[in-house]
Amino acid sequence: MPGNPDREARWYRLDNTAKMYPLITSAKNSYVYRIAINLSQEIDPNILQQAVEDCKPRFPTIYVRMRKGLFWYYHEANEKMPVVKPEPSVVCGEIIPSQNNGYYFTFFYYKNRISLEVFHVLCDGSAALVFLKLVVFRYLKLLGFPVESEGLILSLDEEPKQSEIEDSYVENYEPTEGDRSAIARAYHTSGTPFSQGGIGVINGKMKTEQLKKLAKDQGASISQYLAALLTYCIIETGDMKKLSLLPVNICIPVDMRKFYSSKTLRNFFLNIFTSVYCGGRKMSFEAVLDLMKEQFKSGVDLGKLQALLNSNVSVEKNPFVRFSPLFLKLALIKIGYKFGGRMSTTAIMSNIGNVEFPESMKPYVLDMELNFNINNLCAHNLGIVSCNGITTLGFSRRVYESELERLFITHLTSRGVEVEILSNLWEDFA
Amino acid sequence: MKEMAIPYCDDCKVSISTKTDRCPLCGKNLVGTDITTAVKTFPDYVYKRKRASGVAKAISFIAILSIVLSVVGNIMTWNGYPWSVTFSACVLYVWLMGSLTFKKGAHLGLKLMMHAIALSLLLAIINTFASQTLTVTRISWAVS
Repeated sequence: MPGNPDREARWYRLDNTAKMYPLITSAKNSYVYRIAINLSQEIDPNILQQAVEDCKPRFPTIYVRMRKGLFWYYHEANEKMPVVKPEPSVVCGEIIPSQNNGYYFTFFYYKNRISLEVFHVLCDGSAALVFLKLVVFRYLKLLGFPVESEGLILSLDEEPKQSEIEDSYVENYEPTEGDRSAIARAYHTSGTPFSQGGIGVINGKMKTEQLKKLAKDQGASISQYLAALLTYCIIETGDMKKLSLLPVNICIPVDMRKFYSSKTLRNFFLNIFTSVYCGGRKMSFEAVLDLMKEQFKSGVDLGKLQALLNSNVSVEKNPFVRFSPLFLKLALIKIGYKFGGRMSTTAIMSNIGNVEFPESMKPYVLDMELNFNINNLCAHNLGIVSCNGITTLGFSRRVYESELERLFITHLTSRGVEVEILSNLWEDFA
Repeated sequence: MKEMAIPYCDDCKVSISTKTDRCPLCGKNLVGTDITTAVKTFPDYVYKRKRASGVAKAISFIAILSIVLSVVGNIMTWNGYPWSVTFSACVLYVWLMGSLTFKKGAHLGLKLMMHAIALSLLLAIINTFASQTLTVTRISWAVS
């Protein structure tokens, strides 16, 4: 039976969010994100391969391949083993299952870094983090290091639970009024696309305490501060003529697990939007931050999020949508998304928060990174992850110009935050 | 954060761990700072030869040339029949639909839908113009 924690379960329905991704993904818009962890020593690929294979029974909804059904795609258990690979130069490139033993995730290694790239059809960042932590824990254990889970890492000896494989969107759906309000069309940043395709990465590492103090001095959380700063930088570097007509909308995925006590290891997030309309005039950072604080308070509201969840799930339950054949859904949604998808998003900012590791693992873990490749209309995106007192801001951009990133980072450095930069120097390879 | 001296951009006030001689943020030359301690933080880019583009360009050139020559030939030998329209429509169909058929990443459903639309347009053009070119009775699709 689908969703049965029994190890012999053979197939799973895609969760509510996942249903869209196979219909809209392409080589340019891969919908792949990368969570990377830097360890204190060079990676042993053979041990990493063993660790990835050992974790297979624990994650039945991730070690899957995707099949086409009559009405939707579905997942079924993948008998083959995933293969860890040397990290490619392309970050968050399209995952081609026929070249990956049918899998929609890949573990890469490069020097002391383990990178997990995941196609969003499998799970969101929070679930991928749980997966990555267990693989790294198992990797360190196989190397003979004295690490213990201390309650912060899943156990390999446990069976997968029903709560880990459920579609939490459907489980928490209430057949009441949903939220049908449309998001305003957004301003899109422009620039010169990389001739070779792919994304340029600039990761900025800083002490979490310094960033937290900076935000706290302004009465804001880190997310509010960084969302405001991203909006401010977009306005500062943007086309004033277009900004006089369109607002800057930042799409912020919100992890719904804390609101519903969900333990699912699939997708369970909803997008909230902040919207700042500058009317074609420059705005001070403080003014943008005040707007952001208000919008966060009203946006991250359980009632509104429930209405949004109801609206999303009701689309899937609509009889016309449900019983349309898959090839028709593919064609119509592909065309519709090409012309209308992501029109309401200027940039995406995803903060997966502070990652806790057991004390026994901390000596071997340096820091983490988050980058993603979502949509060609969003030229600049920001991933945030904190670990061991280090916060990494992962800028992923599709254009040569890095003025926005420069303004963002120099805002922080001019206010006393020490920043270290790493980059894949993608602009050098055109 | 770092005990060793690593490259530093005075303008952006950032230290740079990536092995480069310029700041990734502002592009300022870092010559004069100590870049020997930096290491590569990402793998080198692997240039891939684009083999198909030469063939695609040749096919495109031949298609466009054929259309232009047929239009010019039709005009120069004008006898009242616009045969170049039919010919050009056929060349365009084969060229564009052929490219779409072999395009990687495009979904099958979308390809089939585009083929259906393009074929319908081609048949409509042939039906309209071929009857003027040949002594062919115009086909009526209605059942009387």
